[in-house]
Amino acid sequence: MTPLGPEALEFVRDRVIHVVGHELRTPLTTVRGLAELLVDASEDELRETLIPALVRNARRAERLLDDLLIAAEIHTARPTDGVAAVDLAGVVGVATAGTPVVVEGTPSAPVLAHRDAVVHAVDHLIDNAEQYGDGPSTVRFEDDGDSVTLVVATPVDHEIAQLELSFELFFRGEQAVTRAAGLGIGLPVARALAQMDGGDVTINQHGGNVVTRLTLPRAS
Amino acid sequence: MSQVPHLDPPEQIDVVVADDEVDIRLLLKLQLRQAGINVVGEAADGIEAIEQCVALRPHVVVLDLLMPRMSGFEAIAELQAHAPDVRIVAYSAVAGEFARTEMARHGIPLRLKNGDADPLVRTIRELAGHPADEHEVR
Repeated sequence: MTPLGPEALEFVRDRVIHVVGHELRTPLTTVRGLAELLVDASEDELRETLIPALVRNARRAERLLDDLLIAAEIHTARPTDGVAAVDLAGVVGVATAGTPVVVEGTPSAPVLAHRDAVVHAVDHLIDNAEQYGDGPSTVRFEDDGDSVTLVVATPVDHEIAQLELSFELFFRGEQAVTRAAGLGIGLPVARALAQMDGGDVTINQHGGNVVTRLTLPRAS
Repeated sequence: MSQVPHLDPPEQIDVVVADDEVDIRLLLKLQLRQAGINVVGEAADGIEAIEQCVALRPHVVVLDLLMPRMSGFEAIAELQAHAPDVRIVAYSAVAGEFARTEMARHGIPLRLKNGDADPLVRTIRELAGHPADEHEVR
């Protein structure tokens, strides 16, 4: 690969700072704004509205930091729990709860991986499916005896050029740039997490769907 | 050209908040309520913002610029055509050159998203024709 020149590097640096700043602003705006409202809030409002929203947005900022560190291959954000049998259906169930994503069937076996990494990777795949589909996505499972694959099919009504660019850090599709939140690192982060456990994430387009596949070693 | 403030200031300022982030809408509802401003409707994209503004005729719409289906940039012309009496304030996490230039071209004030509600509240009051210091925000 040809090294980037100073001008290209400056462009990339500016772009990265721009998108990180944009993505951090929403959770930080919410946390600060809600925190200033705590004093005057009623008990019910605290319990039912403000505190859950504060936790949600603090978690979002935390996830953003984890994503950046993983994407930069800085290992401080790698999971510290051990590899174990993880119930992929359970993880998918939590990630898709309250979303229009349709889950078809259940996997025949758990996967052998870091639980936090699986949760993190699945969250990114489901988040993409929600944000970028032209209709409700479907999720199914495949099992070849050695590995279990989560298959996410997201309907799209147009051909997406250079889909593999989705694995480039900070790449965002044309529509995403003006219409959706996101850093453009979800798929590379999901792939890095899967590869850490001997799996992978792939993407292709056929039959009117963008199909994203998360493959992980079968636990038994 | 700047938007002309409402010449006959309403007793109660009605606002529609348009933002695809549900927690930003929640925050704005609470902050504006505390400032004595009435949030009469919510929208999650530009299309809903237009529908809400046409149906509810608020004094002001707080308009996020980056939204799915129809962005705030795209919604502005539609709002000006179909709800010309609704004043617009752009409220965005992005205040780069493009957003600044576009908002200046339309005469629309642009406020950067942050936890401090005061600048947004002041702008809403000004657009609704209220003196800036009529209602102090805590």
